[in-house]
Amino acid sequence: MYKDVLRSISDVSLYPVVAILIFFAFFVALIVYVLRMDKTQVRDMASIPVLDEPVVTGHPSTPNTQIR
Amino acid sequence: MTLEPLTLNSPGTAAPQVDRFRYDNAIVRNFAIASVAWGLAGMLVGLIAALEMVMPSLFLWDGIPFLSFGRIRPLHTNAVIFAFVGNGIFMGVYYSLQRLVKAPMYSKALSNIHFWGWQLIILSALITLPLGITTSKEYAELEWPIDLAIAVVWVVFGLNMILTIMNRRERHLYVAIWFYIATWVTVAVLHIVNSMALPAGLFKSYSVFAGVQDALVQWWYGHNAVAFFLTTPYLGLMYYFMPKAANRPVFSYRLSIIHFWALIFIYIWAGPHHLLYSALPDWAQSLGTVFSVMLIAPSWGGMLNGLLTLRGAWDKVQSDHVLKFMVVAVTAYGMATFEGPMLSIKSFNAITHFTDWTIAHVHVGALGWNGFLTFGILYWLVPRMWRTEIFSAKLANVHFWLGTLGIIFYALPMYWAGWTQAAMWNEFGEDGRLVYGNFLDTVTQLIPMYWTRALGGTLYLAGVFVMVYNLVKTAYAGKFQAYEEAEAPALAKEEPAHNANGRREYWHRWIERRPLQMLFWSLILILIGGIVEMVPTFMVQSNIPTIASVKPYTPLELQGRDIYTREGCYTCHSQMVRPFRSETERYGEYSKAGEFVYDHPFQWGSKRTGPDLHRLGGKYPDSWHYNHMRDPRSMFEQSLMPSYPWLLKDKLDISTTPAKIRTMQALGVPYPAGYDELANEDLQKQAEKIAAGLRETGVENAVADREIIALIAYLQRLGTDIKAEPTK
Repeated sequence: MYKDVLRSISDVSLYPVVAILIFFAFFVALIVYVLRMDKTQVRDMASIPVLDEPVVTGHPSTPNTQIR
Repeated sequence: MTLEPLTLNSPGTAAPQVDRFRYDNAIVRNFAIASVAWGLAGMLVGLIAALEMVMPSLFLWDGIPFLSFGRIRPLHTNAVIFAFVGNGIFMGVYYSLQRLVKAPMYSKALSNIHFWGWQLIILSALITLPLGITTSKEYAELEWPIDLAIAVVWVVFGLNMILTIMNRRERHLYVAIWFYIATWVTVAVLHIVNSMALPAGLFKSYSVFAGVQDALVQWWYGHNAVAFFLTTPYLGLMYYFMPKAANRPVFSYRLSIIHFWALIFIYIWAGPHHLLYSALPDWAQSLGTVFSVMLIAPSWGGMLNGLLTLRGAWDKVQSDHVLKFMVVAVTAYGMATFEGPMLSIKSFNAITHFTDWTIAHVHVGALGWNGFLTFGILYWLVPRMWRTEIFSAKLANVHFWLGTLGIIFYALPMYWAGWTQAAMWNEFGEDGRLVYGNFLDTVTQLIPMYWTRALGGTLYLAGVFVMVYNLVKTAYAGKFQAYEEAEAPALAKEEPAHNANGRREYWHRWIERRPLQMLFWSLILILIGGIVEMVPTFMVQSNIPTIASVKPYTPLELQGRDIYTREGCYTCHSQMVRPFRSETERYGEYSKAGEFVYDHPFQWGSKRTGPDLHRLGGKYPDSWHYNHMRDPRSMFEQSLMPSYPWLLKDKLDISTTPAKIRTMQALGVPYPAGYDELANEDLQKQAEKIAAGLRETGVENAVADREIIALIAYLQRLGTDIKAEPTK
């Protein structure tokens, strides 16, 4: 019965094609973007959490702020 | 304490002024304590529920309504999801967000309203669920006044978070924050849509959706509660605390960007895999399967990104208890997210669905991923906020092994139980009949597995107690720092159009800096999946093959149905006969979509600890039900079902009938106009008839005004409509 509903939409066969194109285009654009990202920027962004706190002397898991 | 100069990550700002401010650790501590305290309570309730399954007649809980399995199982799931993990999320978010954006929380008042509001909601759940006040929608059992409170507190949390982000001194939003934002907006949407109900009193409401639609909305919610409450916020925490604990940046920031968008986009579609082979339209089932299988890519991308963050630091995993917990957590995430897509494949789902396999699957996620990541963060956070070292690394290791063994002893027997159930349910003999035609034969087989599971749970819980002791000792040895001084350059107003190397900026970098746009696009992305799956199903409703003989419940049956939901029968019994020979042979005709059009809410269930009940009506005499509910073990010595003696004693409250009928009418159930005032008359007539029948068949003390009569009326109605001749 759901097939009747879908059949009643005109040109419904285009919908899945359009959907998959949008889907792929989105991820292709995303991958192109991340591959073209600036290296130093990526490094800066990735280091935000390890550089966000002052040193606590003697704590074993204290991040080393000289990492950069 | 000396402050190290902080570096500024945004290039192109000239001579910025340096702001001094204080991070609020007190709110982090409060959420941490709440997470642990509620976690202990939630796990203890889980252990009680596990023991009830192997010792159903133990005097501690047998015959006590508040401790009945059907009522405390929702308490266990809600406590673990929303109290333990929920407070764990807030603990991690409040700690990491302030530091990632180099700004204190926007409003201390909002933080406190969020904290106390959330605890009050949990407290109200702790009271209402054992009282049987429930919507019966899994992981959304809380009734409408509490649902409203959840919405308000959630908005407070979101407002505080977004305003904090707007006040930031770090231009770029680190990937963890994206996960927090997506979590917030998606949980808001899920909660609002799935909680839509019409009240029929202060503590009673009916879902606005019925049958197939209600099932679709519920599992769209249920699946995405796992996705956006148990997964995405914890991935945010992973992206923050794992680099912290390993003291190195995440393996690939590029991968994290793809991980984020792919995960939130694909996850939202996967809900229908909970309804495979049900009366849900096939195309929706297929969509659910396809997207669930695709989910493995972003999930494993995220898992590998977490594990590979430890590149070159694997030696530390041997000695650092924080990393040990995190590694097992991320590994458990990887296992659960491999298993999830597999379970969504129809042929595999046909075997595992409704069995204990599902219980094993969710506990690998809850105990392994959520539990261990929370513990790892706590072991990292508590010494830090109390400015000291951990009291005993040895005890932390003891906890680690107790917890790990606990998970193994929990999960393995449940997997085994799942296979055993499926194999026994589906086994036909040479004569073409079911070998285990008596459902109980398949239950008693599982008792050793259930005992081992309880042992696993005990080990895990014992480990948490060890952690509490260790953390309390740590806190006593140190001094809590409620506010942590920090400084950072103010954010320049103008944003550079080009980055440091003179390259033009891309759209994604633009969105990464704008929390509101991020929120908006996350919302759009998750709405697509929900709308595509739901709208056609709702349109189709008018085309659902209407079965002329399917009629609304009588007032007595309606009251009985509410007792069925109150006692949480759906936690052990399904009402969905799938179109398999083994099921039609055992239960009768498979379930049709058109049979559920008056079911507000649906009661398809998700687990068969006991048999399916959709075709129960007319299968046994009323007296059988009466005695069986009073004491199931008087009928079947080895039954695991709780006894319900209070149903025989408690009077049915019929003052609620008119309001219930009116609410049903408002939802489109075709009772005649003005029927609300006549309903109780019909109710009493039907009750008298059942009671008289009971007395005739030997139940001498059967009285018409008791709750059991209504429940019997409902049970006898189940699945019988399609057998009736359609009335013209």
